[in-house]
Amino acid sequence: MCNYSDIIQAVRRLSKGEEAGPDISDILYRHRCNYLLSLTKDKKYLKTLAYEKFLSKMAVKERYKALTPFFENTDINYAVIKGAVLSLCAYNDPYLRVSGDIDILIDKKDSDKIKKELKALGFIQGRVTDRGIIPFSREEILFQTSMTHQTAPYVKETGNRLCPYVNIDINTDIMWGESRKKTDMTVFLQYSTVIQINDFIVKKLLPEAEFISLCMHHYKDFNSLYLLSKRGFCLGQYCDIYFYLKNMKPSVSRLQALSEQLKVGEYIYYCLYYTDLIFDDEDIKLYLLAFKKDKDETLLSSFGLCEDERKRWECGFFERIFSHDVNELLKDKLTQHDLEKIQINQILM
Amino acid sequence: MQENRYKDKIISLLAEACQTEIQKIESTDEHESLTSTGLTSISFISFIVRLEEEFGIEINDSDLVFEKFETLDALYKTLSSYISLENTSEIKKCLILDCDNVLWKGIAGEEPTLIDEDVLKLHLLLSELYNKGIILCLCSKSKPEFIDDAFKNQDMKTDRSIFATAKINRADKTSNIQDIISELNIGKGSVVFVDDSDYELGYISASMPEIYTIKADWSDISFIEEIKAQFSDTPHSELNRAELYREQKEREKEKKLYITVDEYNKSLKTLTDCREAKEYDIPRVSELSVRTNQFNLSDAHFSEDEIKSFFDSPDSRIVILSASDKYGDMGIVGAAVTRGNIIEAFMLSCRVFDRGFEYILLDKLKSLSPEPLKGKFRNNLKNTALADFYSKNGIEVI
Repeated sequence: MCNYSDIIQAVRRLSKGEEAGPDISDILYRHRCNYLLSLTKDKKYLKTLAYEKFLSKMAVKERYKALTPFFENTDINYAVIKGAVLSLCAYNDPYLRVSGDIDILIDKKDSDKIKKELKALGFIQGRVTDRGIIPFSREEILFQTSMTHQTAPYVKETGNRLCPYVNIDINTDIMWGESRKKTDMTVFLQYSTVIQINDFIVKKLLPEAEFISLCMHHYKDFNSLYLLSKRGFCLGQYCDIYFYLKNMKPSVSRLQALSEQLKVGEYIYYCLYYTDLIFDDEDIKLYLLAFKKDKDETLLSSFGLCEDERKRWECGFFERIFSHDVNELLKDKLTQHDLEKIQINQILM
Repeated sequence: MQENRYKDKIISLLAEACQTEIQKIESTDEHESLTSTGLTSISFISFIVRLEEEFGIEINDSDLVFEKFETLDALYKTLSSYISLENTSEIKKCLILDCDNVLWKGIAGEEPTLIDEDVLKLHLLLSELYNKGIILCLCSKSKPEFIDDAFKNQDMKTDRSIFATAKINRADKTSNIQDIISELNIGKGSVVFVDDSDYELGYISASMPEIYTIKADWSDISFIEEIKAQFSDTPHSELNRAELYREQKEREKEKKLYITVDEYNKSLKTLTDCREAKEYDIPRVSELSVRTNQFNLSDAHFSEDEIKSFFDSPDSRIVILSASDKYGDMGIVGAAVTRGNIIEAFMLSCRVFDRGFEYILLDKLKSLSPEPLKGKFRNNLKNTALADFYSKNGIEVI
């Protein structure tokens, strides 16, 4: 299947609990839409999905087990975001949405404290290689900590051969490194509650804050020059937004108020707009209507995470999200400076 | 703000990182953004690395924000919690000690060594300095086995492991200290050297005047306070430098365990099979070409039908490389397609980078081609690092 319209119609049917019609399983798998794929009941992918879920469950358990002393004892204000928490909230299943790490959101001021606590639990900042964990160089740590809103990832061996390592990403803002806008995380993290993942009780954000954090993260992925050139688009991320809204039903008024306070309305609108373009859903349209005043045409028609690097897309939305090679679409748009930035990210991230 | 040598040093490091003139930084208003002098994300990282090296500090994660270093005013404010900017003496970060009559009383190997209350005061200080992040090193003309025995003294309270490095040999101390400085990549001015011999101290002072020397004289233990005073301005570092340097040495040692890719692969009991593809390999070769971007030299992405057409064509050849190791069978991880003597496609799964498989595949192609090979290279932004792969391996790039 190569007709975008057919794909989208099939996705819409699936999302409404109907038969997909034409075979779109390969596309769904490639775009990491595990939930929709599970709805197709395509025998070709049943085993794959079951196996991925088995591994995902084991990985989630290992991650939470490794962090239990932190979750139980820390006085750092934190929230677990994305990963199993998002999977549970959006798809009612903590293991369906496969992720490679556990993301924890904290205030930047607590980054030294969490470093100490994680190191005490045996985590080190490094990368997993064929030869085990190799600690990051100071340059790599500095780059990741100062140029992004994440610290360099923490890794620990588990002793489980099927899931030998646990990775943790510490996020210190919901904005991206390129932005001058900073979120008051002390305030943002007040919007938190607790959730049970398997046997573990952890802190997570309340739905409105969680939805904003999700949109900001996915907006970054849809617009970062480096991430676009590295991974392209992923339909699964629009599924996250769609099914989160459908399942968690964040309050429209509270969502509006919080996004106004954080001055992120235009990014929320962006995510809602394109999610609706895919799913064409009445519930999304209600949220869209509420965020109408935040519509930013420039943002909608371009990519890049800041004014300096923003560029206009020359192709349609579906063409770019289903493109096999986004770099083809980017190559004439990127300046020498952009290419250098991408290269630096490739080396240091 | 009052000028001093720390600020001069900071400006000089900044100029070095930004690759600009010191005067340009000096003439920048303290509240003006340093981006105009060349402070970018990369020069920022270089600056912080040099700053940490030079002052023996580690900038906290919470301070690693570009804005906190974006103007001279901001960076002085940020650094003021790490460095006493009004202080004019150089920060000390390394203490090198002689052993005999310093770490103990007596000469190891010749007489019983004595660790009494006075010596324990020094050991207590060493422990404090170690915990503060000071790098402790040994430099002695004794024999290693004598020193090892002395550390086994039942009264010894200091663990040998707190010393990041030790030079125990007959070489002159200047050379040994120079080696330590090079190994640790620190400045001479950040070193304090303690010895009981006036000769050695004089020699070091003459050859390396930047090094602060202290005579260990057990008849007057005020020298312990003198050592302590030298490190009083050194900020406490969360980083355990001695540990860090030792870990780095272990890593280097680990690297040396596998000098070549061959040796490493052997340790993994890696087996490879490089052969011409059979018809049943076609789907996997197509999949590899579709999924591979980084080590895909011609940026070729072939459907199964296209691979099949190569397979059926008499002047084309598809060569595949499969691999397995002690962890399991990896299946087909590399493939190349040739048409005549032209390498149309050459790809390797990113799972197996740095294992030397590309050379096995290339050697196989060379052995199968009666004529010198030519290779197609098409930049796809992700394979840039491999642009010279063919030329480095004697293949003409087309």
